[in-house]
Amino acid sequence: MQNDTLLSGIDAQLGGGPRRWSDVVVVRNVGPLTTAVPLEGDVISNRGFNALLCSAGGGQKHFLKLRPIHHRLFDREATLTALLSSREGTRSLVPASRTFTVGPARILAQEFVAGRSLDLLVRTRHREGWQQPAAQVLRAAAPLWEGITEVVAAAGFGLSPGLSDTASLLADLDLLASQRVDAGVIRLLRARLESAHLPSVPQHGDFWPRNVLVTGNGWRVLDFECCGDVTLPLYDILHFLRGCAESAGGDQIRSSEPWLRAIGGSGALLQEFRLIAGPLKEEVVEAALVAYLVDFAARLHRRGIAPERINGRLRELEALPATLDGGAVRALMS
Amino acid sequence: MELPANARRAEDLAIADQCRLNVLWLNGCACCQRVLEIEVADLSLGAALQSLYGRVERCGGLNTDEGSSPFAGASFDLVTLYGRTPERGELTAMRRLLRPGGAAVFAAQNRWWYGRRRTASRAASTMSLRDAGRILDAGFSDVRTYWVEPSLAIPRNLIPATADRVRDFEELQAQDSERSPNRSLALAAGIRWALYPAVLFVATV
Repeated sequence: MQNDTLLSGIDAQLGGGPRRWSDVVVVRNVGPLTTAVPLEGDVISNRGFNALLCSAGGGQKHFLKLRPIHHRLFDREATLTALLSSREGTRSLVPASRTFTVGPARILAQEFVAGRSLDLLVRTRHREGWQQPAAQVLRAAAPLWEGITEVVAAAGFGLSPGLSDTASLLADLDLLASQRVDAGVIRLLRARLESAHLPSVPQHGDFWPRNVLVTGNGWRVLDFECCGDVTLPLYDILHFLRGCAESAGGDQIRSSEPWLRAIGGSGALLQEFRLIAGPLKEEVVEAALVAYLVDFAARLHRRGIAPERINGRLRELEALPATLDGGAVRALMS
Repeated sequence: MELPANARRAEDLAIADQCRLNVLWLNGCACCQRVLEIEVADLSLGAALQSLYGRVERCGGLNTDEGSSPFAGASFDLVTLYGRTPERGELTAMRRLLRPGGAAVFAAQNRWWYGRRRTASRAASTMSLRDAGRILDAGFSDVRTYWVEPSLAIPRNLIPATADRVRDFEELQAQDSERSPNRSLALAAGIRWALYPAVLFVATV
């Protein structure tokens, strides 16, 4: 039976067999692994399933991602994770992994690291002081962005050096304009994006508290499927800090001002933010914030997320000109 | 087919079928020549089966009288019944239809699912782990048992029903912050099995 082929193929690559069907726990079953079902766009970003694989003797566990052979995002993640885990500065930040093929499945097998997501820790233990663990993560993960820039270039994933793609951001803005975002706000944001020349800086692309694992042996960053796909500067750090604030608050964010102020209110976090922002000018950081919020809201819309779940993001965008005029970013940079 | 509770668009139906496709594939049911689906209106595997096998034969139920059955014995590689409890005679009839090496897939709501009222009509459409014994009694040589969540319509998680693997699954879930109050309540009460709304059996000849 095919199941035996799958398990024996995995055993041959990973050792620790022979495994039985009951050693595989499927934990995220999304799209078809076996046959191509045409679904366009971002409706499904993942195909296949994730699984926890246990050894026959109850020893080492692996976290598996099983994807169709020609999955668009698989090779990117497999290659970049392998390169990052071979670099001195980033080795401790990513789970050790290997890649192989069994039947119709490409498999990424990562060491299973027991721990808790930062998101859960912020929600349960650090609601009042999320800035401290956020600063610790940013300090530990600082070598990651240098590493991503290096390995994305080395792997040749079509990164074009220079400026970020403003045209696609403006198209995203048009998409959001059709979602009843105030026309005056759209004009102001458009002007910000057109006047600031955003440098192209490859990002993790999905760096948020749920993808940061707190283990007994430091932090691990997970999920590199979109790595290098996003090249907007500060995208990761803004996404991460906004995510921390959202986890701590428990409610939907409707303005950027409170979470930007919260960054400024913590000396350690502000220091990490300034280190990562580096030499960027204030207007570039402001445009990077606009670009992040526009890109993410448009991404959610393209994925077919229900309008009520995007509503908060759209209201945050509408409040953005007032937030910027109020000097929330200036306070971080000066 | 009934829409999943959280379904809003046609894409949701497609996702449901694709998830169930993976479940069949994972259980070694991908290389079957002749497939029979015993259709249950709410939870027909429909498009998923069609997509995996190309051609699927269907019936509303199996005639337990061997002499009047329209299907020859030992003529199918896979028989599925997704959404209700097989009757005693039906289990035997399914076993009779399967070739050596063939498999039957049964899936239905967990009779004891937390928060569900037990009624006489519901009992006819539910299964629990205890049904594994009935399946073996019908002449199948092996039964794999899974808990399925969040639903049979969209089986995102497939948990082998062994104590160790349930603990592994819950450890992974604990990394995620989306935990329902029901989960904490059931764990505190020591009724772990009540968390999982559906069961799935893969029985081999």
